Amino acid sequence: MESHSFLLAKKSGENAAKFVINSYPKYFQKDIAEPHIPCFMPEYFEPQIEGISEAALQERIKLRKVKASVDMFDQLLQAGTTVSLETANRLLDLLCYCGNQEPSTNYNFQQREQAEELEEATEGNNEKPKKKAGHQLGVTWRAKNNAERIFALMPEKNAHSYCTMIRGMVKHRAPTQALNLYTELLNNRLRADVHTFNSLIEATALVVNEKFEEKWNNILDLLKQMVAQNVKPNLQTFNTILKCLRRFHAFGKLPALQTLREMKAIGIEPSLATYHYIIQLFYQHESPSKGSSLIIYDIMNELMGKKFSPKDPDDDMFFQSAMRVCSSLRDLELAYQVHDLLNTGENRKFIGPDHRRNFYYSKFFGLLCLMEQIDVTLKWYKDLIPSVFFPHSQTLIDLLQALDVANRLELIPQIWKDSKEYGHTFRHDLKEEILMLMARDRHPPELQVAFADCAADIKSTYESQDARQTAPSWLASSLNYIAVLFLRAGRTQEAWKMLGLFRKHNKIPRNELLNEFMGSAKASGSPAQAIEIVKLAGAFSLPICESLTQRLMADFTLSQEQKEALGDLTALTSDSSSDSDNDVGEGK
Amino acid sequence: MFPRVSALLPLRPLSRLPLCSGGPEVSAAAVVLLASPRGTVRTKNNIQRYFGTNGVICSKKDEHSVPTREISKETESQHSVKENTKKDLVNILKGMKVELSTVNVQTTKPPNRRQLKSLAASTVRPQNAPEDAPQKRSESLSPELVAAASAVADSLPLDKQMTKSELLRQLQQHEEGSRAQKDGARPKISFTDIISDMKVARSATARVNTRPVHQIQFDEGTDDFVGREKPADLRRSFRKNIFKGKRLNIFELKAVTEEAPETEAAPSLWDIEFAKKLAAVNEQPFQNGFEEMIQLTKEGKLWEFPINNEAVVTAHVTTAQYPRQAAGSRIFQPCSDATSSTCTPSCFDDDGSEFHEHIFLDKYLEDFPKQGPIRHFMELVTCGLSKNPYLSVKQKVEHIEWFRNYFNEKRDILKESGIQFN
Repeated sequence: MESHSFLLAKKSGENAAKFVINSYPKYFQKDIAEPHIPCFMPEYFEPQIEGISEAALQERIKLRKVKASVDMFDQLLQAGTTVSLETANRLLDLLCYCGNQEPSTNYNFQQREQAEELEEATEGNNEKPKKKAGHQLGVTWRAKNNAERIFALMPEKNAHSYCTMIRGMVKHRAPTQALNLYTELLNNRLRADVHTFNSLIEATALVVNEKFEEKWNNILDLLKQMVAQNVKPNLQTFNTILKCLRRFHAFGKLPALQTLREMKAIGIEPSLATYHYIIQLFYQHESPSKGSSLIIYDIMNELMGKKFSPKDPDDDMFFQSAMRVCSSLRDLELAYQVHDLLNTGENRKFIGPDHRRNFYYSKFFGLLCLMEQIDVTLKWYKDLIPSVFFPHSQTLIDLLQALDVANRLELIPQIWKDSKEYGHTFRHDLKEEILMLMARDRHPPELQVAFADCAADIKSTYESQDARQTAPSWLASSLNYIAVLFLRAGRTQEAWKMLGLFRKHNKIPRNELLNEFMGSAKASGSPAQAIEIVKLAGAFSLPICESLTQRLMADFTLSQEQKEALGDLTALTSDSSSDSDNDVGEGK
Repeated sequence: MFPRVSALLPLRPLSRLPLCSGGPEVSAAAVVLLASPRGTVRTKNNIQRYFGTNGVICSKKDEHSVPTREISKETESQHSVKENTKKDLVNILKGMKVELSTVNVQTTKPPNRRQLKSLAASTVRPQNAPEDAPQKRSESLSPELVAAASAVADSLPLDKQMTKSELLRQLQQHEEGSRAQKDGARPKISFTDIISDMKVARSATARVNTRPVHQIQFDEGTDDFVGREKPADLRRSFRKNIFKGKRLNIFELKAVTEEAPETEAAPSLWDIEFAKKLAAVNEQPFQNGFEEMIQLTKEGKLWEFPINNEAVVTAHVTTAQYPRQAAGSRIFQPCSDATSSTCTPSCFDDDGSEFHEHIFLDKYLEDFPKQGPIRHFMELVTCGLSKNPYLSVKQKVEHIEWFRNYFNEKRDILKESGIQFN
């Protein structure tokens, strides 16, 4: 746990240092490393070449200065110099990739604010559909932007120009324009490359107001055109098709399988991302409907023992979706298979970033708690937590329930100790669960003592939480449980203090609790305590008050003033209670 | 005349099949044959009833076509999966003339679950699926079906034996196909202790070949299927199933694999960004110190081991070529470009000379006298040159050459001072 945060801290320190060095390069010129280590020297982000020339333009393009490049280009045109086709294409590349915005720099903490700036910039300019979480944060392609303008200004355009424009349009969600440009490209008898076709496939799927069948037919048309133009499809072609088919829901299932078979038939090996899309398509809903697909088994059979290398940026989503399916199907065997695949070769690198890894392991461990024997589960618990992932409080609750089912409640204090280390000290649901499990049944004395200690610990956490917050954190049930546990372990003093807490936080004790207290009072032979209990019940106007009073009368010998006090009490309660006939006569 | 009534266990009655007219045994047989294993079952009583109400069995074509049409409509509406074989059978029946036949047609009894028939694939279905209606259709071709088929064959004017065998084959395929679909649709609930003696043998090909495209149905089964238990063995039979079946048939293998002579342009911005994204897929935080050191070595912050002395030289050479001024205009490049890689010739000097050529320069002193001050001097020169890291071997040899020429020119002066040459 600490190593993880340590690594993160190191990385962020590194980023901060790099940021400072690159922001003020003139202070960091001294180079004492021999041989020279370029990494330690500041990077130069400002263009050095002054003046209006094509070389300057190329430099700015290289440095990814969008605005500067556009300005330079305009200046060049105004000066009358022609810009070579290649440079113009490079400029178009830059513009289309960045969507006419300045690209964000590589620093994580800067990216956030820059991204927000981008968002604000685009928000006012176009009516944007719902925001897409992603790099560009909703950068859309505006008509008549710089890219289009420059495209129009170029005296000659080759296939690359059209291609890059199409790709840019699709990337920034202007599918119809992309398709129109494609027809223009065909009209000029140029040939698109495979990447452009991939973008066009995405474009056809993005077009709104079309039925799935139509879209699918359009995609097939595009593929046929690929054949006609002698363009070889690659892995990304098929992955893009599958990605788009995901949106087609049930309709997309058959085409997806056909696509997969086509891929295999022409010898392109599917990557993990391929299978991820297929899984997502076939298992779109969380809860398995009747007759959910069995395709996951086919997939796992196919993948067993294979080692993968990254071929698609979405490759790291496979394991997460596979484990999600295992979890919803409640199939532990399959989960083991998936986990084996993860541990084959270097596949563990495909687990993805932190949140995805956590998701995977939470689902896996939850499934283990549900389906596996308790000893094996505990072994996995020791292995996985906390070295591989940090458990969510829900995970721990699952584990507790598994312990409950397997009747190993003696491990609960240990789990509580662990939970505190994982930062769940102030989790209400977790503490509730723990207390409930401990207090539910009677246990042998040693265990009861251990439980009472644990309960005391939890109580202290509640109290410290109370001290920090204004809103009271106690829940009635927790008070109940803690009191019961104290009683059963023989810590009567503290138990009685709990009663005071009931009144203080205005929570109502349960009937069983009061009975237990009565029992304890009887055992210790103290009628004063018993009267306390009855007073408490009366203060809350509980219906059990009568039975308590009767029990009191039966079990204890009371002095006269105690009886009078009792009488007042019962008189009070009898006024408010419904069945009051007998009580009036009592204690008088 | 009427079929023998056999005792039947309670079944889900088929209320939806409105065989209203002309219930010839053939159509009854057709219904029986075509009935989906899941739903459309008919009790004996129904048949009885139908026979009761429709006394006349006509052999007219149009009347006959009506019930078959209704049959086919019913089957279409009731089945969510259609088989071409079924259609074929119906078509056969449609073109048929029917006469009354006294064949003993019985609908199948609700199958005894443990019964294994020898004719077709023997699948034993789990008994404990209580919520499902027990299947009317037996797992394999029961003798009654065979009898029905033979009855049909008899009534057809065609070659009886061939028709019968054809019908039987169709039935078998249909059986296997429908069972395959049903099995395929079972969600996985592994109660393996309950399902202990399951055997499955089926062929997947019959099913997958005959799927009409317009059906919105995926290969793996039906959606409205009630949850079924599934034996673990069944899963193994699905191996490679997703890869068998119809494909798009758009691309040709030959066309894709032949290497078109594409001119490789310099990687565009798109390619670079894609490569970066791809590299980011496999990024994981360091698992141990070794990985950290690997990363640092890649960045150039750590030297490579075993340490290569000449790694310095190349760095100097490359940076010497680009003055510090222009270093600013270069975009930052990964360090590995500047520093040397491990075992390539670029480790060494530009002309590929090794360290011993730099240090052991005695061989160039052969022309000089072996003794005397000249020798001393030249030895000092070679000593100094050997320690000089900034000159190439060629330059050092040139130095020595220069000295040789110099002393040769100044021979006369040296002779006067009495220094020997050889």
